[in-house]
Amino acid sequence: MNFTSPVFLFAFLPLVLGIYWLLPPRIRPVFLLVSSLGFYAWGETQYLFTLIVTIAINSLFVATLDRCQDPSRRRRLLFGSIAANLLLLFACKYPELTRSLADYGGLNLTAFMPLHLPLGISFFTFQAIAYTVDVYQRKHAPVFNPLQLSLFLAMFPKISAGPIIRHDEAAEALKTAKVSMDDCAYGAKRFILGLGKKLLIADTLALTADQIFAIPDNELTAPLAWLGIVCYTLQLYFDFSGYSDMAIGLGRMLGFRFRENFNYPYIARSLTEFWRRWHLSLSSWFRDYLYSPLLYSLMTEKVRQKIARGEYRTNYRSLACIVVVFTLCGWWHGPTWNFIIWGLLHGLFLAAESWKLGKLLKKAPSPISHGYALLVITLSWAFFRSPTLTGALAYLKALAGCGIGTGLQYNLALYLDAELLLVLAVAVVAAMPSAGFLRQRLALAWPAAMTRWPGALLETGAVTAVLLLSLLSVANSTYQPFIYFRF
Amino acid sequence: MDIVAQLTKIFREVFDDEEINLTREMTADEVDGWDSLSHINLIVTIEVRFNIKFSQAELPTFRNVGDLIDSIQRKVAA
Repeated sequence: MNFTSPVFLFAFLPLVLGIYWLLPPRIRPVFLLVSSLGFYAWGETQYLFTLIVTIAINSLFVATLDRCQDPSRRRRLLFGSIAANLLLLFACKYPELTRSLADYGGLNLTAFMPLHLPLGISFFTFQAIAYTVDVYQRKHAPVFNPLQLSLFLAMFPKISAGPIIRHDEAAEALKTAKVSMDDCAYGAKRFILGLGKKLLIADTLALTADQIFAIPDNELTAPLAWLGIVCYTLQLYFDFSGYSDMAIGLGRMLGFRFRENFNYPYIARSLTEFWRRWHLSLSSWFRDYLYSPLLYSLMTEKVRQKIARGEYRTNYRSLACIVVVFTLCGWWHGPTWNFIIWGLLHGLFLAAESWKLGKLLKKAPSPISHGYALLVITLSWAFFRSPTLTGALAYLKALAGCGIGTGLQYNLALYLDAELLLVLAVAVVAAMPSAGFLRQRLALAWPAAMTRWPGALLETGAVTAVLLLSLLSVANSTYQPFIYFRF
Repeated sequence: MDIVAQLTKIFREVFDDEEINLTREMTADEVDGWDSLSHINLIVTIEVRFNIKFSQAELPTFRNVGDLIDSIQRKVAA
């Protein structure tokens, strides 16, 4: 089920929230699990099996791991569990390859192969791996209650595309499921803002981005290519951060505090800063469960002594690790050269920044560092968005002004209308922390008014307007799934 | 030399900045070049010089320099 579909907005959500709030707190988790399974099974009944298998595998491995005292056996169990999770993810992401590999081994898996990627599989698999590693490292005790573990992995607000939460953050709420009035109000506001980001901004920009990226390579001109990439850059942010706002808001209305996923990424002054602001729950997952273990395993005694003597100031192994990890992160998005190149590019720029570039950027005037970061981020989205490598390269050529389009059949006037200009302007302003800035300014100018009812009224008015406009657009628009549901 | 002085010396060497003066509240954002890439050099240098070992699990739990100092103190005393 999609958060922006009428069935979710007008039937599932009001019904689930209403019943949840009326139930006594100790019954709430059971009800939430049942509704989450219903949410998942909606239109995807056959994939419920994948989710249940993931829950079963992880609870079995973790229970055995927790009882085991022998360090080498614990290690084997940890790797066994990670391998089982990744194998399932691999089989779902590459059904054709898996089927041929199984055929080769004399197994017929045709009946089990998914027709499309099961919803949210990457996200609940990553969460399950984090949980297992945390128990292995004795960061927290395992969850013995199967209801709590299932709910932790399958909770509907975040099952489709995260945020990838860690168990210790949700442990308390999984037990008590208490919701205050403030939680409800804040959650509802976050959900509405996310709905507006997706329906009013992302989906409008998507129309133009899709049209421009569909223009034949030999018809692209530089102005068109720039309009397309700017629309896509903003679309991706509003689509995914809108989804995240909705997920965080829904969680809050049910008594859960999920970690933040975005923090105005496009105001970053370097790629390093960008990754501290973009898809945080995924980048911190890659850092904690892939990059750090990989890097620490490469620190041999010889290297450690060199570092301590100050003779290995540039840690080449960490630079190599970041490139490898980001390339893998790119590959995770999809089995195409474009995603791999996108990840590799980000890895290389991050390594360059950690090596020397970062210090230069710190000294540079802020327009230069902002310009550098935005340029690298925007241009790399060309690989992310284009379906083929030749398409991406032709697109970059057009951006550089070397396109061969004549502009006769496809030109800027076809796409750039008043509606798009308005949405682009709103998107640029909303991609920066403008609301906070405005609130601060208003509070300075009219301190009395802003702390009392006019301030609250202004905010409520704005949120209500976003809600009304979004609901209008649900009625009028065609269905546009969230971008990150495909990963 | 006490732990804070020794740690200040390590920070100045690793991040190549003689101006660094540690406070308990200091976080990675306040030290130029302290990111997850250079973090490893800081941790390894601390481990070798103090002859201690951090576990992978406790590394992400350091929110600021104060947490790091406390952990070193506990390990050195043990």
